[in-house]
Amino acid sequence: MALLSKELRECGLYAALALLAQMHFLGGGMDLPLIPLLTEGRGLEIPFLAEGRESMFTAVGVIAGIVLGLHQTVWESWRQTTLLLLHRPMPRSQIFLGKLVAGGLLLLMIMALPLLVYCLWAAMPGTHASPFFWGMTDSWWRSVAVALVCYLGAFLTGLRPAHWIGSRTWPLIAALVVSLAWKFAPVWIPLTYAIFLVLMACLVVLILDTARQREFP
Amino acid sequence: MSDETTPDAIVVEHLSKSYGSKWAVRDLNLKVPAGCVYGFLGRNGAGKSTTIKMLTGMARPDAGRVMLLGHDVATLAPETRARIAYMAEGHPLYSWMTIGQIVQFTRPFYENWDQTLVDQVLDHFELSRKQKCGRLSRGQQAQVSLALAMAPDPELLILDDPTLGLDTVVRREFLEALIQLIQSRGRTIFFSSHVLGDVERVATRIGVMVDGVLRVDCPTETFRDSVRKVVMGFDGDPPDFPGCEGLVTWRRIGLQLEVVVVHWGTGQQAVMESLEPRWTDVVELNLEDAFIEYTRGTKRSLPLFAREKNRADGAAVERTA
Repeated sequence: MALLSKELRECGLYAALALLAQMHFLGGGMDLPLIPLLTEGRGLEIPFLAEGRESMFTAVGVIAGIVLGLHQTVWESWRQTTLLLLHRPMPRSQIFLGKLVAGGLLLLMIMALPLLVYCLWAAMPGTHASPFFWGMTDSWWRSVAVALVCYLGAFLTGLRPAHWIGSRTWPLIAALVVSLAWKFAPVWIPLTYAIFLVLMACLVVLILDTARQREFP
Repeated sequence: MSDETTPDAIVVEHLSKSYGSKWAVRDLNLKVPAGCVYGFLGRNGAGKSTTIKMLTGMARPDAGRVMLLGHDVATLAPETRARIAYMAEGHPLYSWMTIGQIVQFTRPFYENWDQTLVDQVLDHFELSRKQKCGRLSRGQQAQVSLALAMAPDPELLILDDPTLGLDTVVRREFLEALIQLIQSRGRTIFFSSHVLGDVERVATRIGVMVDGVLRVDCPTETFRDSVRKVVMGFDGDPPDFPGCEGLVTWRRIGLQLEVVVVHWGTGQQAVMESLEPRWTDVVELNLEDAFIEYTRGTKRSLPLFAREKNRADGAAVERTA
């Protein structure tokens, strides 16, 4: 709990900023933008079908995921507090799992929570003059999965040692490319989510293995 | 090194680690008995930090193994790790936390947490719980780290250059606090340091690393008393030193020949006399001088750049850069 609380506090500022951005973009869709002057054509769109809004939602989530993943690894390593943390009487895998849980929770708060509110608003009769089916939200939920995969890719990038930045960033680049490809792939919906889960599981295993094996200067 | 009644807190067997083609640590064997204060010395790049990284499990050895409190460090259980405190070089702390918050953060990890001791140490150093760690001086960071390290009542403390960067007064205060804690609790301490005065004050035993190899492992007194510098004066250029048992290094300085030896005795004295010097002076060294003489070796012999006759007796004097 101490570790979880420390991670949540340490990354809270980034998460709060990202959440504000999401509130603004999704609030625009509900005709409740945080900054009204920055939202055009409000109240005229069909919920979940405005492409620009989904792009912004995905971009904010992916950027937040990358920032969180790198902050939890590179920042800690740079400040040398990794040495302080890793000498706590706790298995190394548990320490890194704690970090991942905290990062995952924050990302869900940034992505899933506002999206759920947007979905419930759209599903509520009388809020807008257009049809709504839960299937319309599928692409948006895939964006949540994309952000989570990118977060794990960034975490692995920050954690694994490499001689130069090109080889170091391949987990992040691979996570970004593969997850975006799956987001837009015309595949049976349950299979898409299963693939995302497999991707995340693979990345978590790689992260824990890297954490176990690598040396911490 | 340790008898049957005193278990070894640290056992290092054939420990080796290389980076590329360079050996950082080579075939290190070491035993630190429980209750011992062990000063780990060496020049920059000698392999001290790499050894400490391997002791704490932060680096993986290429060969050999480390046992801490009877357990292999590669598979150290959390319960054993809780009995070992480690203070990393530079005393890293979370800069955004206050002292109170970092104590609260660290406390839940340990079953045996002595909050009274933490309060005593913080009060002793007049540290407010509300001060941000990021705003503390280096000395204060060391003091907070010491409080955090001591609170779980560890049996073994591993300190990586704990007084690095501290001014004289803070260093003295830090060491005095450390000595008090050692005396009152009888714990094993393994610490590396560049400040020989600190080591002399605290350590009961020392190890000296030279180029990745542990060259000295003995009680502090023994090392200090073993190393001697013999200075011989000649009328002309001093001869080459032929070598003797226990020779560490020799060098010419003007009309003098300086020879550093360990275990000074009659055999070595006979070799010196065979050179027929005009005079001979056997100099006892303090720990710092003994360490310098022992570790600098022949490659660090004083270079000669000019010679001039400026003495009343016409003796040549060397000028060095």
